[in-house]
Amino acid sequence: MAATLSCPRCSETLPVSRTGSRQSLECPACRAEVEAFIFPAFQNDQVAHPQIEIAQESEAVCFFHSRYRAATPCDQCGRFLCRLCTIDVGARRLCAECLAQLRKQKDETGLIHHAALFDNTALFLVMAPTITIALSFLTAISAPAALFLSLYYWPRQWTLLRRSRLRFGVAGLLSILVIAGWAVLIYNIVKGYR
Amino acid sequence: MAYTRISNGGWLMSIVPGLRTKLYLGPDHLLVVEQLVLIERYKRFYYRDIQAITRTNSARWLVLCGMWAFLTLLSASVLLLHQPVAIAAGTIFALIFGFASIHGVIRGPTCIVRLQTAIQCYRIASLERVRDFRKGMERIEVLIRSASEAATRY
Repeated sequence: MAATLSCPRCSETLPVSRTGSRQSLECPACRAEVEAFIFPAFQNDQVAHPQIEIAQESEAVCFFHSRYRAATPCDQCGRFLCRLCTIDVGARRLCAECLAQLRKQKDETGLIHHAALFDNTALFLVMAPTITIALSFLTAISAPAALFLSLYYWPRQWTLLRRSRLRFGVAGLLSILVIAGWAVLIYNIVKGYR
Repeated sequence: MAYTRISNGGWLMSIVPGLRTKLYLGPDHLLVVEQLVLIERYKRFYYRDIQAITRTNSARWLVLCGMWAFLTLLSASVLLLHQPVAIAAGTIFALIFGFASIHGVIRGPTCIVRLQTAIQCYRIASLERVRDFRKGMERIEVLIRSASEAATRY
């Protein structure tokens, strides 16, 4: 199936020429002028069903399908894979099991797709109830929780790209101030009763 | 694996905690980092899979600059009152909105950018200023072309 190009504004199909890497087009629906950078992957659209080949007697077979001819080894574990089992991830060719492992791997070669931001969570916990004023009584619980998050995750937080520890510092400092405020308040109430 | 930052999603967005999209260049892929308050999501677009990048101009910057300018005028109008508290608050808000308005004008026109692969069409929010787009494409285009040619040879 040939690839088509759609308008970035209205998603209408654009009349794109197969030749030329940089084209100036006009959308037939919204009349927007569209600048398009066309790359070789557009010309040789690779959405095609993989060809399955039955292995002959002397040929290597796929680790997962013993009847299919092996086409490539997995770059991670080295198992032989048929075209059906090969997953292209950039320049790497992987099997499904290795892909699943890489999606959990917390380093730059891994394919992890999310990371929790405990610094933002700590900051949110301490600031949100304080700012809303009406809910500031919640800081009795949220400030200690924010302090715990700041201290515990300071060395443990993982993100794919380097991230400053400033938010942890601010959250920790604010939560200490809030806890101190609560301590003073409770002390004064108790003192008042006596 | 070293990543090089292409776009930070704008200075104004960087001071709003939690909502920003950043774009990085990796050795064989573009990395889009979407920050949604308490979580960061990573999307990888491999150069060899990218079919096209399209751009069209949008009027968003005019709307936003108009809105900031209107709010600046509204805040400045409080200065006509002869109350010190109102004047102080009005000055602060007028400065904030005025700065946002000038910042929007300096950063220039906005556009809508979409990246197309064989199975998806993804909007790249961090490149949606014409100037950022031009600067980013100078570096991205070369990498995509060389990766696509290498994949074709393979």
